[in-house]
Amino acid sequence: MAVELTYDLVLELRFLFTGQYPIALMEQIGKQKNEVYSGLSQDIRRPGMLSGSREFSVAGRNFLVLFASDQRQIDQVSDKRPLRVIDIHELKVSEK
Amino acid sequence: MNTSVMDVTSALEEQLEYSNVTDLRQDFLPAIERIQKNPALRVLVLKHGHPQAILMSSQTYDLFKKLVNAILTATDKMSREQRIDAAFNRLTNERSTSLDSAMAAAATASAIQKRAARTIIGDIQNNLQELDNALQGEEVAG
Repeated sequence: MAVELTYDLVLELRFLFTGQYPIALMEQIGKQKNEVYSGLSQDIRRPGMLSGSREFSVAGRNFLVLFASDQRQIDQVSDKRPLRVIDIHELKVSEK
Repeated sequence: MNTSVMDVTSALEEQLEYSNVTDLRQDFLPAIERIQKNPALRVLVLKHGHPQAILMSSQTYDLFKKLVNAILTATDKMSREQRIDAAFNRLTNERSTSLDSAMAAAATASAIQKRAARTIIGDIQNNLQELDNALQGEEVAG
């Protein structure tokens, strides 16, 4: 099984164009994609979707990252599992 | 992918030149002049065959910044829940887009198969006709 990680367009813009999120966060997410995928559970509001969130710490900043996987987009032939980064929320100290 | 998306994609590709770092070093000023004459032109810079950077007109870059700003400003006005819903909608829409392209590919494959089948049937009909003619000729001769 291979996990294919993609980012929502708006998040990609914030990473690659405005630099609002550190590239190191992308690297961390990439390293943990298999683990993240395994931890997803059925999204109650959206049939056919798995979702889950995980906290990441990069350069003293904390981010709550929301992931989703559309089970209808699974490539059965090559057994590729899609994993999409849906939202990134930077946690303030008070939210920790 | 629908036809209009394919048209835009191919139009964007037509305005793209490829250059490696060594060639671009020698062709830098002419490349800048080509871009000034045609702001839609972009030069994709390759290093060891991999895309590394893009050279574009400052007009195009400014336009791109405006576009990104418009998208991010609209997103910033949303609540977190609305942003998440919008991102889920984009993901779901991608599914229907990929289904569209799969259906288009299947339709093309089906059309090719139909054409091939018609050709084979035509050949068989011709062969039968020839055989029929030959048999009739033998009957007349007999």
